[in-house]
Amino acid sequence: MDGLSLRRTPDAIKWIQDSLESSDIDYVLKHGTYTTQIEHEMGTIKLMLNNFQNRVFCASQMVKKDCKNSELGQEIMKATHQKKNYDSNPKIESVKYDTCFNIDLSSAYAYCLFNNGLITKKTFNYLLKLPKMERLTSVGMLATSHVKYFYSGGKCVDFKPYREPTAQIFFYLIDEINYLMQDIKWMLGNDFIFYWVDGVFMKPSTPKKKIQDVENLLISLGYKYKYEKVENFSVNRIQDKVIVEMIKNDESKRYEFTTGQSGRELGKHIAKKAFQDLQN
Amino acid sequence: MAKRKIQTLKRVVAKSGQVYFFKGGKRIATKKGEKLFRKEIVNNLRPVPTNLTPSEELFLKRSQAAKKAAANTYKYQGRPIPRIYAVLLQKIYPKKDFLQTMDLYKWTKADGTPIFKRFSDIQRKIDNASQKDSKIFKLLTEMGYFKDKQGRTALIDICEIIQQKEYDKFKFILIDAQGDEIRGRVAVCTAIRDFEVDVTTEIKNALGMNVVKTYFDYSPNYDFKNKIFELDIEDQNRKIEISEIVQNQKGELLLPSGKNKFKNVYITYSVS
Repeated sequence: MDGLSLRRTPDAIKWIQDSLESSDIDYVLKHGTYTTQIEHEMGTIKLMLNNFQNRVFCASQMVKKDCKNSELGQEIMKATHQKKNYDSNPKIESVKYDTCFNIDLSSAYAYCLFNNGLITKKTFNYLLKLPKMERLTSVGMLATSHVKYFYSGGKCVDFKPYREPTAQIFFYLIDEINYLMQDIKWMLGNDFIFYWVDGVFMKPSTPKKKIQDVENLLISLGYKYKYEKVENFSVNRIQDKVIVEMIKNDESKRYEFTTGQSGRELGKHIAKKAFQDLQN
Repeated sequence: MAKRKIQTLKRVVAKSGQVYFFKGGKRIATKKGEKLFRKEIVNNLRPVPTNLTPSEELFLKRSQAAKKAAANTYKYQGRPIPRIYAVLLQKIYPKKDFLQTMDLYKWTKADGTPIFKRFSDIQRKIDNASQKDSKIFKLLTEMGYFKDKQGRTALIDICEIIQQKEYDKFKFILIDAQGDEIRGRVAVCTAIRDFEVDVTTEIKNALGMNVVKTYFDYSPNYDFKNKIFELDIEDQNRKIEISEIVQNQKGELLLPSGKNKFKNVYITYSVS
């Protein structure tokens, strides 16, 4: 069972674990977002959720290397990002528009990395050539994490979580784009509807001047953007739950999010704990 | 060209206390007159009469208070900023002279450049301060400034949390999807991993496409008094399969009732 690459399923993991246990072989199970690896004395078995092309891993390595080599990258890695979210628009109300404006940042994370001097022109160009989901995965790998489970005599005896040292750079990118969205939200004022990651939706009545201001901001910061065709736009708010539906570029889209604090106990706890640590 | 005569608003209070409004020599509706009168008073276009009615007096009092409050409100490029930012900035810059300048865009560094060139620079300043100053962090937490990003409270976070020394003496209990109780630090983490793999596989099978990421937002219960960490992820309705939910909804693993499919974990997913 060495050098195997399988599709990750519960049955596959269970079968390997049972086989190793019955053979009395100790092993380490490394479980990450996309892959699970089982390392034992005779080799390693890899179980993958998705099959990524080699270029994804290649791009990811290029990004990581550049980030580690950059001065800002080193600085960001030493800091902690709070993983906070300002909310795309907690005050969003039910509304319907036949059409609305949507400005979308193109390759937001790649541009953010490049504009901040975190990656070289070569890596940037390589990233831009990748399809959207592959590009996102390559950059997301900056925050690779896994948990190692140590098995002895068929029983799990310990575990050890691991986060890539560059994880903070990925959180930094998220924050940077979020800050940019907050700027746009502020500039649009009452004409702002909501934003989703790197795309802003605004009322069809938005004055030209405001749109120009937004464009100028994006240009001044070196971001590329595009307008998307949005029709049948509707926001349905039921208490804390918000459902946004639209036809974007002739394709139905639906976003759902909550504006309340339900299910945030862990977040609150982390904040409380961090505060205690800070006090100490 | 003949100069156009400005039609001034005339206000007459009758002995009965009734107020009448006239414009261009003609009486106008009281409601319209009141509106114009109030507008003139607010904009200082006429002296405040001494014979104000109680409702006019109340209006005047309120508009003066609002004016005063507006003058004392911190703004950015002329528009008021959320109160929480103002409170925090006063904590961050306790003795600075520019606290007297109400528009934050006009706050400048020694070289004359704005401190907050972009609106988000205010948020950036607050975020950075909260990392260095525990008092600011506490205040932010109390005021609900933080909102944990969805999807970051996954297995890795749970494992990181329960590995901390502070939780050494905690009992870890997991109620799994089948409703069975699992106890122990290691066993709980292992079971959460299996649960995540199971759910992701089922979603993937139901969709028949690449699941880019599944987010698990857990809400465990911390009993600090009795030192118990408990997470309940019992299936809330076993008759409804994940595949049925995935086909009917987009992005969230919720039952038709709106509840989480698995009790204390909010699951979302994205596909390519």
